Amino acid sequence: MTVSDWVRRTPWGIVVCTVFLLGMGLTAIARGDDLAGGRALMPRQFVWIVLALIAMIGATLPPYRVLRSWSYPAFWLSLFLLVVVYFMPSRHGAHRWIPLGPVSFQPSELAKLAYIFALAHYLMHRRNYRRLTGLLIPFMLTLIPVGLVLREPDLGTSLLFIPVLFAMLFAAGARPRHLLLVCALGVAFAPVLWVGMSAEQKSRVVTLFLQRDGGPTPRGDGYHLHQSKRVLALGGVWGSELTGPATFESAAYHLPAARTDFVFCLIGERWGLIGCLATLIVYAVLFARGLLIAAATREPFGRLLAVGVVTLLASQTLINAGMTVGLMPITGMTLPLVSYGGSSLLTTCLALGLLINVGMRPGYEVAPEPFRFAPDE
Amino acid sequence: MLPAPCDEPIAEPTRPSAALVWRTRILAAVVLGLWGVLAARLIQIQWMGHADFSQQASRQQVVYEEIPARPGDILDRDGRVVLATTVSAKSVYVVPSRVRKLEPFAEAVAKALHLDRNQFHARLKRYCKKHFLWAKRRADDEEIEQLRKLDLPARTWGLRDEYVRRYPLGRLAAHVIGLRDIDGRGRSGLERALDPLIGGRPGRRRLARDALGRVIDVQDDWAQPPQRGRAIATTLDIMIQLYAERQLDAVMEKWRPRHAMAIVMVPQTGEILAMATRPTFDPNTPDKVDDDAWLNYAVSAVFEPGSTIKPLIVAWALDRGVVAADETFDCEWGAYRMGRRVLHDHHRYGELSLADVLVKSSNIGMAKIGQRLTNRGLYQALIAFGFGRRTGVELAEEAAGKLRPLDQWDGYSTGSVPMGQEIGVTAIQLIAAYTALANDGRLVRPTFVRFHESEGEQADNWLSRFYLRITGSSPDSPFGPNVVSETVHPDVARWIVQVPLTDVVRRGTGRKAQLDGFTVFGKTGTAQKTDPETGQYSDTKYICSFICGAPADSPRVLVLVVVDEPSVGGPHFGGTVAAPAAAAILRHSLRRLGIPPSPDIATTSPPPRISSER
Repeated sequence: MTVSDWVRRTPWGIVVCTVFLLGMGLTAIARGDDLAGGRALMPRQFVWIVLALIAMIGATLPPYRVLRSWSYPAFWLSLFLLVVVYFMPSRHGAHRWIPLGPVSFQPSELAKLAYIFALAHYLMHRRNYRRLTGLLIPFMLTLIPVGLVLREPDLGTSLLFIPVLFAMLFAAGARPRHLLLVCALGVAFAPVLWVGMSAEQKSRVVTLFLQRDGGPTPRGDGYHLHQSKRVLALGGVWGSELTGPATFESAAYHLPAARTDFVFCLIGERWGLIGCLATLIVYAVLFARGLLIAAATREPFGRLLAVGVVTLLASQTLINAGMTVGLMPITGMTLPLVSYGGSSLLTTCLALGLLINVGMRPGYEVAPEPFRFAPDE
Repeated sequence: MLPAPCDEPIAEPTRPSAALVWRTRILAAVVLGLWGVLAARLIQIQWMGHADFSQQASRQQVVYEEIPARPGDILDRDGRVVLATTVSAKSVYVVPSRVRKLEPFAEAVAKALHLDRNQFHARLKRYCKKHFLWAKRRADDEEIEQLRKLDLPARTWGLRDEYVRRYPLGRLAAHVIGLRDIDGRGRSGLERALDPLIGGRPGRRRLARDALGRVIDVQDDWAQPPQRGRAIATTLDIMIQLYAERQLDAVMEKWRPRHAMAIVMVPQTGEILAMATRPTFDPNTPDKVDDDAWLNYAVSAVFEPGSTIKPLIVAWALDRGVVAADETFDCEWGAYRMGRRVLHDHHRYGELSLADVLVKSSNIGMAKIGQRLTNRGLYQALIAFGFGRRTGVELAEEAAGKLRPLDQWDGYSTGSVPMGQEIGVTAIQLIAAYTALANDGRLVRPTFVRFHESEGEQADNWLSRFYLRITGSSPDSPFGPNVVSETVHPDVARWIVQVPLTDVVRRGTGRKAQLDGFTVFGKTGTAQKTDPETGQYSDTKYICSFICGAPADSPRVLVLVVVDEPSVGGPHFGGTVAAPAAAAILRHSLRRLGIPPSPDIATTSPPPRISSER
């Protein structure tokens, strides 16, 4: 593929949306630096963005069908790393990171991508997922990483695998009633899951239903959720950038993990409702474009890959934004492209690179290039 | 590109995946639906919940308050005499929205502040929903003390520091200095034109007020401090200014004109030593000024100059080589036909030398020079001496004068323009044009700024840089020569000053301007005003002007006096009305500037024949 082909075939809509979101993330992290004081994370994030964009370009270069043969090895490797991470020193009571010199790496991020590859590889060949029993292997493929990630513990990330599985099964052609049945089973097992959850996790779910918007600041349980909504609300419609901060009380802006998991609150604080809605719209455009790529790709592996990537990022966005506004329980989950964090950014950009890769090669290349007169120079 | 090697057949290669496209669409619909829920929730929190959360956050509100900047002083040319300065005062405001009972409140406040009770009550009632209303600007200490004694609730009123501009010398140079309005913005004169420099930049700070309106927190880290205005030293010499004003007062007394103006200028640098206008006003009491007195006529009144323009035309003609200094002109014994028009001289002359054309101020001689220059040449002369455009003096009210485009000139113009008709000039333009004669042909820009405070400290803000650029003075050498352009050859300029203009004073129309010890040069001008009713030149309304300078061999001062419509006494000529005043100002200026007189120059005896000019 020549450079001009590469430029012509790139779905620029995805690139534009990505750059917008990265920029929005930088402004939000800068605001977080202002509010938090201390070490500024914005310059580091900038470096990560540059690396991630390079990775994104790199991911578009080899035809994705070449990568297909690496699906299973990558999957096994990621499972291995998920086991390894358990022997690493814990941080905040969780074994999620493998330290690599100055930076650290989250294997669960890699696992998400490898999982999409493996599942796409499996589902493109077999036709037996039309039978209920045939769904067993996809479920096994899912449950192993989910179990490992749950043990870290990282409930949020492990939950991400489920919507990806369902979306990919659905897109591959599984019968809806089978999927519904599986859903019903899952709901039936929810009480079991509830019993297995820690007290902290339970309180997060409970406050979701009990907390009233704009009430007094709770101590302990529900504080984080309350602060999250409050910081969002302080931005108002136009945001502090235009109207100035709503209050000087620094306690009002206190929000743990603001620049990573709760970065959406910072967008809301700095750019207001306008900024939040703009961000959501850009995400929607990004995912819609991704799904268009999936629909335009005849080759099943590529289509499943695209569906998997879009579902992964969409679920992550939804869960993250949902938890900041009090629609989902709080879990440690980054907002793709916006949150501070190298692993997340690299994975997201790699995933988007793959999506672009699929979009560039929608399948008609299977036929040889038809005869064409050389363009007259 | 070849497809990647594929070990198994691609699933459903033949079936176009219509069902699968449909499935993808379902996925998209689900994603979009969830997005809608998210957006709705955001609107709920950020829009509808904003007030709840903010109030709950602290019950405080944030206000921005402007901190006024202190305007800089305006000083005389030595920086010793203060022409305008700033003092602080307190102003009282009330918060109508927090007043429970308007009636008693209004009565109490009005009594303490010596306000009209009913008026204040009406104002309070009208703005009863507002959070801010000035009760009295610049209240004095005793009034504020009275107000404190009333023991009104602290949230209903307050004091704010404000700056008040004071003009210690009152009416002196009032038009040049101009004035500031009650909000501190420059409205006229130097106060307006130099406002970017003098006015400074107001600061801002943010205050947090609690629900009762008390200031609970001043956010100093967000504060933008005010930048005080710079002091400037003007070019005004206060003694010369005082003398010029006195002479104008005398002129007003003696001739009762509508207006009178005087300008004193250094020809080499364009520095204006004095500028006075009558009628005038006291800037300390701006509400008691007649409407007539506001205008600075010296820069904004446009009039036909009359004969004062003649030396400039002759200089240009000499410079262009269309006339020679030793040439003579036939002045046709007082009547000269140009086309359909017959020109007249006030006195009948036969052959006149070029110098005598100016000394006798012969209109016919000038018309012949105009014919040689042609309309185009005349137009070039006027442009070269700076007419038809602003001189660039630092006064915003300056007018550009009236110079019609060349294509609107006709045969009439050839005769009219050389004698100072069909063209409107301002006094400042006229004296600026004469700097070219008195300064070896170099036209300078009149200026009021000797130096300003920020020059030493490297003008750092863009505004002052911009100001310096548009006023043409380079930031590197603010004392630079201030030259606009070169007009005529130095020899021509010197000849005009030393021969015909000196003769005007020695034996011509300007004899009343002779001074002991100095060779004075000058030129009178007596222009008929147009009668607004008939559109014709009036026989009774004149603008009398006299421009003079000394010493003739190296001019140090130029003085222009213009008297508009003298109404009593007579005759009303430039030489009789304006020349004595101009000469008095000139004499005083020379003494003030320390220019030594030469003992051998004495006033000449009156010539046998009274000559005058029209």
